[in-house]
Amino acid sequence: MNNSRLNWKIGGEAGYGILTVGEIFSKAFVKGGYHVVAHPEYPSLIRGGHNTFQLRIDAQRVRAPILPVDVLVALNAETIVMDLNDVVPGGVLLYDAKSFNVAPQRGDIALCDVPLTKLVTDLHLPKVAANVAAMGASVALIGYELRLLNAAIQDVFGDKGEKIVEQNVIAAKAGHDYVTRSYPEPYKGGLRPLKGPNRMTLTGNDAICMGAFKAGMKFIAIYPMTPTHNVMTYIAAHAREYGVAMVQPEDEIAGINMAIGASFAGARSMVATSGGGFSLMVEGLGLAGATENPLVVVDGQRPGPSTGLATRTAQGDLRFCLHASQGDFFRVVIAPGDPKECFFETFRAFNLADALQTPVLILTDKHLGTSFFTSEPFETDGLNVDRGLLLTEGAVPADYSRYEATSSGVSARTVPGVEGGMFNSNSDEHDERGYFSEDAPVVAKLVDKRCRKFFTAATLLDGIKYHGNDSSGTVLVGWGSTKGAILDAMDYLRANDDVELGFLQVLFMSPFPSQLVKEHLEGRQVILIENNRGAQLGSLIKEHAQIRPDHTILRYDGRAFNADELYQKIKEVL
Amino acid sequence: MGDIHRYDVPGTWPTWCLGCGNFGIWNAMKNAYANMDLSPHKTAIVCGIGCSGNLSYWINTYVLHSLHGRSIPVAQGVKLANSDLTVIVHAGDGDTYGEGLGHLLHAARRNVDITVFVHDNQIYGLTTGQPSPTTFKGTKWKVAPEGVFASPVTPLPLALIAGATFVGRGFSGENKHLIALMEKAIRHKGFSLVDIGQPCVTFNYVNTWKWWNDHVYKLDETKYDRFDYELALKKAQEAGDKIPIGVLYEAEAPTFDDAYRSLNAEALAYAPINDIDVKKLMARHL
Repeated sequence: MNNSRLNWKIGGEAGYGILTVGEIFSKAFVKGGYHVVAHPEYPSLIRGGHNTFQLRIDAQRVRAPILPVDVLVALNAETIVMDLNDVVPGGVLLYDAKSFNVAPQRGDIALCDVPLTKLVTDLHLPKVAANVAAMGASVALIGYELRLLNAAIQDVFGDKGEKIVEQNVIAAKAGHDYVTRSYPEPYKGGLRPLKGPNRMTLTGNDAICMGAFKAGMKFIAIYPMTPTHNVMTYIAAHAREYGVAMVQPEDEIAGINMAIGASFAGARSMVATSGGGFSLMVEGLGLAGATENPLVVVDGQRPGPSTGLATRTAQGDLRFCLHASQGDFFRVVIAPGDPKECFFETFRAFNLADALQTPVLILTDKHLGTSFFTSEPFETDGLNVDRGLLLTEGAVPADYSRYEATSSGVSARTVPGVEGGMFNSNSDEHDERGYFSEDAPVVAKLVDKRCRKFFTAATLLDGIKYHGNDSSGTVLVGWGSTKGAILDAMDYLRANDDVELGFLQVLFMSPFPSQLVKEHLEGRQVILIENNRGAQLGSLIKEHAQIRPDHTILRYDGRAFNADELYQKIKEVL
Repeated sequence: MGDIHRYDVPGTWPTWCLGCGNFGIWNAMKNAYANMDLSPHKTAIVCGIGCSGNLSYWINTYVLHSLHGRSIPVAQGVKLANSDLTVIVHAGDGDTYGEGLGHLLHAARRNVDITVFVHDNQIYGLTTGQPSPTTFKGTKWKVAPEGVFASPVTPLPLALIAGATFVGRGFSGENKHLIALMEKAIRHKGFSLVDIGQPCVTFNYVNTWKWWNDHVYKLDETKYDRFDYELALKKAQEAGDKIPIGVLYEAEAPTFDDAYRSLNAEALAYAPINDIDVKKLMARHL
């Protein structure tokens, strides 16, 4: 019987292409009909250190990593020291015994010694190609097909030219053939390619970029910061094709202010950063709120405060994003939970920013933004760009007031170039024409106008997604990237324990879906799951729905939840 | 020449102090715009925060009254999104040389086609008189009773070294001269900085109208080559008894916004976005 799932992990020092390996290996399996979740773990270093990429490969839909590793590939001694205990009894360590003098201290696993470095140097390939040889060796070891690895190599290295592709294919073959000769019995009977639909391998940040392109984003300013660095890479690669101006500003302060200027001038614009960069943007966020200029802000969270853990994951910025800036104004905060939501919610974010003329924040994190997931292609038919109340040439009324205090809180906007639409997009408190005002009734009127957008937004949005059993006595609650681990844990509960739970996923943090949250949670045992210490969603639920979670499962060590560990933790409190 | 009153906001009058140097800049600005016949709806003015930034209320174009120190980044965003617009910054010395000095240097090195007019009164007026980055060393203010310790920022040499392709200095009291200077700065294709001396009649007891009148001289009345970078760098540092006004430097160079303009057939803000296809992007992930 063939195997249908496998957890594979590769470790090596920085500079040896571990992160590229993760992408290639993921693609090789998605091409073969499998679902993959692949997450990198690496310290904030360029050379040395200990980088790993872990792939969970499964014939069934999987959405989060799990802990026990079937096959561990060690490209350095540190991997053996740090990760060997994660290997399941009966698992395999694939390593180059001559390259480092650490003897694996496990009697219950198989050792697969492959002279990776010698294989590639004998072929006059650079030493770094050992990582590709290791993928080829792994393919043979787990009984998969080399042609699918070659296809993935072509996809990822194709832009670098035929020669690079060819060298990598040769390296993969060398590893593959060595293992086929020396270890002919595939692990657990082999993992055969499946027949299935074509699916995408992509990160949450890839999906955010696609959503932004689809929405007609024309301007983006990004100062490099992990974990949104890959947004910059993605946009840069396709900026010309999509006619997008991407600027690397001198700092995040300049970045958000440029984006506001571009938005004022009529271009859909966006910034992407992490918590530290967003801290610098706070002043600009208030400017967009006060002047009612549309703006989309992506905060890819990582652990803080301050520099924190630059390359790890967290969900600690929720309260910060909800409250950033002095004064009162309404902003939308969306927390997508998987690449599909990253795509559709980013597209929607641009429509909402235009419809509400206020900043829209998208909260993701390192885990969602930089791990690879499997997703069906997005259905883009029916996605319509809606620029809201945007007056074009000839449509400006004679008595035009930019900040008319409408019942929706949203007033018609003009952009430079439109005759007769001139106004002051004013950061000072102002009257309906935009002229500064300190008159008490006028001030209150305009503050109310901006805050009415909350009610307008609330009518446009549901704000939650409910998954699973809607009448279970216990309900799980979470947001953002924990969605994958929660859904996978529910699968374990269903399969192993015959327990069918419900899961309330809060998608919109502002406007907070108070009524729906209350309806779904009232009278049930509530288990709150978050990647922060302060149970920030829990505090919002208490505030808006007056419900206290019965149990909280919190992780705040910079790592995402493993689905199997989360399953055990849920069982402990059930 | 157009009508300068087309730039007035009907029913309003500035709230600056009687005798403030900002009136001269306001007047020169409107005259320069009228001379160039700038269409108010095709002109975007970005202002900072301070007495200078309040000019945003009294000019009838598209205006973004931004944040203290951030008008230059905002203006770059406006220009990149719609390079058909004339984009002008009016900001103060605290704005541009304190809070936003980094932005000034980076905009200069990008050579974005925007014009920055700095209303330099060498003091924080709107917060009732604190030393600014251009206050002279040793000047005693109520919040610097021992005298200002630090040397003043020298914006013009800094801008030149950063790569600005148009650098000038004007004086609010030399209005005709300032009108011509502003016109040249706006017409220049590339990043322009014009530092404009203006007395703060309420708080700055040092740099008064008399002081300015006693110190300025016009470069165009001397033998001066404004295309000579080395000479400009030297002249820009002249800050003793005599202060030169006029165009200190001018050069041609490719602009940042032109590089982006080539991305689309029209300005980014006008590019159609209704039916953008991302299927080819998705195909790359299959």
